[in-house]
Amino acid sequence: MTASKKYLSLLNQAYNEIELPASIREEIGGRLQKEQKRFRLKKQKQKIGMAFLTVSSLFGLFLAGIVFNSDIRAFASEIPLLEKLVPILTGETYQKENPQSEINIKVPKIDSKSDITTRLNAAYLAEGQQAYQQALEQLKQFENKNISVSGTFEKIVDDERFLVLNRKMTTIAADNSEKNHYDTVDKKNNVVLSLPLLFKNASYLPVLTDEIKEQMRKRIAEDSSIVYWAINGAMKEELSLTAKQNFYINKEHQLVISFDQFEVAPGYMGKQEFIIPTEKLKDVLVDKSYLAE
Amino acid sequence: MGIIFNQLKKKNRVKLYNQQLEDLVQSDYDKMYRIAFSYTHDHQQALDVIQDSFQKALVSFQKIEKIDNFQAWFFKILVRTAIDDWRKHKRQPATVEMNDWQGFEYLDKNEKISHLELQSILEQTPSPDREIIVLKFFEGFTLYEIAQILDMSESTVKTKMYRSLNTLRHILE
Repeated sequence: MTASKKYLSLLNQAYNEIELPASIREEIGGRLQKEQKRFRLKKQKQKIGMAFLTVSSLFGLFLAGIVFNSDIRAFASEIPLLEKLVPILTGETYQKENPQSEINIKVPKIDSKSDITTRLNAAYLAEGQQAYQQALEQLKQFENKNISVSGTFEKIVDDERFLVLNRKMTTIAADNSEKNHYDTVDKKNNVVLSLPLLFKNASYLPVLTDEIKEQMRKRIAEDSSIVYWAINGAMKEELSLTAKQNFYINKEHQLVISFDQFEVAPGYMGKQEFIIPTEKLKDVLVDKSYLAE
Repeated sequence: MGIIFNQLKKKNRVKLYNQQLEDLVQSDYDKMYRIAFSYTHDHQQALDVIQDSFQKALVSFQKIEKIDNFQAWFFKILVRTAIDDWRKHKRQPATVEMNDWQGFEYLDKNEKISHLELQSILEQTPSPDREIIVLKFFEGFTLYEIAQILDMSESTVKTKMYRSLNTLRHILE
């Protein structure tokens, strides 16, 4: 057997002559990171494909014909202002249930007579129907395997000046996906707010971006388990805000920027919100007194 | 509620698998490279084979509930990917004239087998004998681990191992 052993060891030697190129460990590590990023992006794309809320139709209704104007009051309508407390009812419920999956979409209905509420309610109903149709499509695609689609709504603010409604779509299929959409109604001026309406010009976008990144850094400094793609993600992804960014005015009448799960951070971080100190917006706001200090 | 809890469990599981794979790269990168290279005989191809294996692993992370022996599990994927690549490219064996070999006499005189000669020898060894030789004699995996990597029983691996030694001897004689 010794001949065999010796000869095996020669084979072994020959095998170990396979040259390990310099920094091969890093190269292989880099290949793994590449695949991990590819995989993550693929999942994100899938999620965007599953998003049911369409911001565009609602914006279409209210921004059409609205010119960049320095005075929000110019949009005040003749119709009576919304009363102090506005009840939100469940207008329609779109439902479908079978052993493995469930769709349940509740459409909000603002119970108050006004031009604005009529338009909003019509938009909510239309979007609810569309969301239901899309959910049915998804069920077909996934062959009814364990999908749950639920649409709910929540009143966030209801005071003299503002009514804020959040519509939430949650899809639980292969993974979990939650999308939020906020509508902020200025009761006094009878208008649904959009970001461009609040600011003089597009310069508000970099101001918001910088402020949010600053807050992200602070949060990371306080808790090292926190990850934001734009700051300390494995692959850096720049934060890019647009006029269609999800936002609302909170109880304290401050501007809040809201990001859905996966938008700016890994999934385990969930939804991410940032309150923007009005101080920081002084130079770009149309009306400096519109938001609280 | 149950659905949400399961989703959380799965997220943590996938996170763990990713960490295990990253750790495995740090500890076994050389094994990965040599095994891949012994099939591809080409640096870039070897890296591609490894990267393909990573991709397959990442997809599987979403589906598998439990991975008992992570190292064996991954090397199973790597070996299969390497074999697939080899079959696809039907690589030309290194042109070493086996007729020049005088078997053990040659070894006694020259005390060395070149890497090209090894390539040729391995190419002529059928699967799974070839894998067993590489995994056991060159990379030092245990019979138990090899059984998991190649998806056969330990006794089968042992039998084939002795047979493969004989095959090698015949090739050289």
